[in-house]
Amino acid sequence: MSIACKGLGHTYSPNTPMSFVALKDINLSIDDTKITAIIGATGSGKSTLIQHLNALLLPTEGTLEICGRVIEAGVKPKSLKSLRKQVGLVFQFPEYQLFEETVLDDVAFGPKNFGVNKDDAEASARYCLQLVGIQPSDYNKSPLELSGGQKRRAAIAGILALDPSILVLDEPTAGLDPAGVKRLMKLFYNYNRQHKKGVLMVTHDMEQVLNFCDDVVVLDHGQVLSYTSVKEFFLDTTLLNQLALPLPPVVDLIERLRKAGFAVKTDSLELDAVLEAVRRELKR
Amino acid sequence: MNSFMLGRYLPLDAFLHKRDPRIKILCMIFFLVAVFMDTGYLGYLFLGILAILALVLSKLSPAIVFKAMRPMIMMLGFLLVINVLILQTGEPLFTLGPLTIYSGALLQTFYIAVRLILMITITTVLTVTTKPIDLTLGIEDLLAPFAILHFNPHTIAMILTLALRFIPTLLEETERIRKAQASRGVDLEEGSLKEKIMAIVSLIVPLFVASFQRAEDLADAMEARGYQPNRKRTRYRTLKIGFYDWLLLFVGLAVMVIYIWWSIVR
Ligand SMILES: Nc1ncnc2c1ncn2[C@@H]1O[C@H](COP(=O)(O)OP(=O)(O)O)[C@@H](O)[C@H]1O
Ligand SMILES: [Mg+2]
Repeated sequence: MSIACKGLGHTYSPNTPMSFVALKDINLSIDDTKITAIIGATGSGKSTLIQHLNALLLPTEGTLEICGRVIEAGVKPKSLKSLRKQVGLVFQFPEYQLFEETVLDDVAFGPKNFGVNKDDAEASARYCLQLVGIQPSDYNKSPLELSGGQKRRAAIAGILALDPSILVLDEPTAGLDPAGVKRLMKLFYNYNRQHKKGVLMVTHDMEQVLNFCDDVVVLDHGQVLSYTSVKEFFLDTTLLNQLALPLPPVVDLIERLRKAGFAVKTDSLELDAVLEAVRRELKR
Repeated sequence: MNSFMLGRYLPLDAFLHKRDPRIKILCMIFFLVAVFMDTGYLGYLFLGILAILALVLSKLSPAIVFKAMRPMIMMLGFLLVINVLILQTGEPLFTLGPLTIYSGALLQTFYIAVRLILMITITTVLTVTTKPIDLTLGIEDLLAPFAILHFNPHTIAMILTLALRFIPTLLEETERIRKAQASRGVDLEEGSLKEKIMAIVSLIVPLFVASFQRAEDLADAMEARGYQPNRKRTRYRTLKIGFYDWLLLFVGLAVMVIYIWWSIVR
């Protein structure tokens, strides 16, 4: 199955002097069995796009098909709750949404809202807290007593506990320490590979895109600039130059060699493969 | 968002936008005093004309005033009912069962409605044509004489500025938290009473936590930059009173004086 946007557009405050076109004519068919990165400059519409996926925002133009549902501009969709369970959305800085008395209660809050009974909700809360790496001794603390990184992880556990079939994350690792970032990225990777669930992730970190993602959507001023596999993306010199991003070391190496007049012929971005290609080129 | 017209600045750059905030605040007070003078229909007619003039001079459409009025319509309806039940002055107009409606009741409600419309129009004109920051500067200056009473007008102005500054931020924050909780299955519209209460708690608690956090950060940032409420500060923005400002002040003052005199001799 896939997530299909057809001519999707979103205008904030339409028909007012403040109206602002944040997305226009988005046509995408995202494979929801993969990990897809959504990248683009600040203000390019990434957050706006992903809020459509669980119908927090509704398209003002076009349609969106997700999890067997069709959301059409101008048609008020019915009972969005089932969609919100299937598409788990983790907002940017999700730590602000913690409110229950204990960490465990807060994580169990989501499943309970979707009709899971108390015991099962707590069981899945424990499971998810353990997944994100929160110690059992912290389960009964107030969420406000946790450190910044722990809060973030608890909040992510709160969405994982819904057991969504598509997990959508808005800059989940922004402002975390390197060890915490790595841990979370591995968690999302496993969520996709072991549990066979789709993951969509907004990120600014090209290392994450290279090491953990399958496909990349590039947004620019509310439009799709490109949608390719990660490999194609990092080998597309023209696009990379246009985006002027800080590149991961391997890609940077290829780029620098190419600029120095040394063409590396490779279709893999593994360091060994790239070095092998360099060696081959040197022998010629 | 659009229903929130009362107290919003619109950058239209009309005649009244360029006037000094202190003068505008004073003129609003003069106008309000005039509204409360009892001068009969004719007096209200002239005030109505003045209010329309103010709308024209701020390039505002009456639709905006109507929007600002909307929350008041309920109140007016309520007032009408109370007046009809209580007031028994004037001619009896007609009888509904045990209830006789007197002309005085309708007249009284009409008076109050006219006054309310005039007041709301003129305060809307003030807030629409004056940036919040200028408004607080104006208030600070106008409160300056109270400094003799060991009352620091600057502190009040700073509190007002900060409060105004954070209204949009809080609205944004509320919207974000609402969406985040909606993603966790919170539904403000459906559900039992218990679920609804839980839904509201899930909004309010994070909002409070975030607001306190923000207030603390702000206090730290202000202190780090050496802010001390009781010290004398210079201003980046200085207000200047020009010819048109004096003219406006004169007209405003004249209107008030005439209305006070009119209500006495009447
Ligand atoms: N609630 C809103 N009302 C009006 N404009 C908005 C709103 N939210 C975002 N925008 C605007 O839409 C554009 C895209 O925003 P966003 O999707 O948050 O970008 P990104 O996540 O890529 O940084 C920005 O220019 C932003 O100012
Ligand atoms: Mg964003």
